Amino acid sequence: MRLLTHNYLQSNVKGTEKGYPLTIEPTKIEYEESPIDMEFVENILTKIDYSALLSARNQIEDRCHSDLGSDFIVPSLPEVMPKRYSDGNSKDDKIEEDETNQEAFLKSIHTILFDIHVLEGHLVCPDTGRRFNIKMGIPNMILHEDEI
Amino acid sequence: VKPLDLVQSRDFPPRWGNIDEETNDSGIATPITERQHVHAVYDAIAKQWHHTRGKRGVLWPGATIFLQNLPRGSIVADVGCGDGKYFPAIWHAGSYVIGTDISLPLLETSVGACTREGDEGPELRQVSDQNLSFNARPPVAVADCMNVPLRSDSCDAAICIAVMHHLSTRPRRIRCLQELARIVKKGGTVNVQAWAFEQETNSRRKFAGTDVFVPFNSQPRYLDKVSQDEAKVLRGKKNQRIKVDQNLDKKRGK
Repeated sequence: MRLLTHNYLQSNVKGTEKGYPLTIEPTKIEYEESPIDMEFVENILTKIDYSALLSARNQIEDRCHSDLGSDFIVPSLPEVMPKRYSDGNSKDDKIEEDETNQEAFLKSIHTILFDIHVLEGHLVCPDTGRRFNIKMGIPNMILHEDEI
Repeated sequence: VKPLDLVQSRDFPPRWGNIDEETNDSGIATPITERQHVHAVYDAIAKQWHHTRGKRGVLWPGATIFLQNLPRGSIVADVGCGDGKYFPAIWHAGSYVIGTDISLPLLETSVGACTREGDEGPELRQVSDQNLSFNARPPVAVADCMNVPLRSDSCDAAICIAVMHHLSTRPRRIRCLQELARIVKKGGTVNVQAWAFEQETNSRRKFAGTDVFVPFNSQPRYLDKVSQDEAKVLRGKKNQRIKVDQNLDKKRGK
């Protein structure tokens, strides 16, 4: 499960007021580097819940250290998304503000959204505490009969 | 793989009884018949399904065009994604898919299902280098379309192909549509396709009723340790006349 997928997942257990975002309790993580499509990443930024991404990143950090070795560093993210992305404004708005920083930010986002895979663990509903397990990178979100 | 029970019926051809009796209060819980004759069947036939339909990239009409017409960078929900056969089309169109399906065995066949562009393998199931990592770990989750585990108004589009005809009651079909509408943002698009009762006059498909089983002729080589006789399983589906298999004929003859 990538963190981009996690950003969309929600618990629908009966009686849940807000089953989002799900807390990640990873027990096995893998890293797989993939080619970056800058335009794609910029586009995605306008669609994700950034604060949910921040907390997800923090939740997986420890497991990344133990599973991926001390050489691997989970990129850090600013508390608030750079304005140009959160507003969805056109690029002409602030020209060449700080290209190095922008590129670094997008690369960090790419790594966190796409390249870190939670293969095993649990997703926990913040409301009800219901645990959904993850196996082979696939979360099982099937509800029991009494949860519908 | 455990063989399923044959459906016993005095009618000829066998007809599916009134399913509505089985639904509970909420109206959307899985009826036993669907669990036995749709869910369990797909779990059992997953490999053969993937080999005969998924791998060859046989897609339902208009789906490819629908997906290609989405703006690049769309987030697409594929509800009832099965072995992920629509994923390559979505990735090729520059979008991101999140697939859900009730069958874990089917979802597992989606992992690493595509070959790399240029390599040997079914052309319709190829991905570019850019998308190889999606192919290796497709973004999927096990879920019931009655409760799609995605947040509301989050997706740009959704597809739901060849799912509705497996939902045996009206409340369930309505609920599926409601879920699709819920997860897609306002202004987004949804593509739903399912078998029609009406078929063209020259079609070899003839539908005697609206609620019947369709037999699935499983090939023993896809099943582990199951004898040929036991390997006849029935798949629950609307709108097709049932074919009586050889064993039933012989039993009736006695």
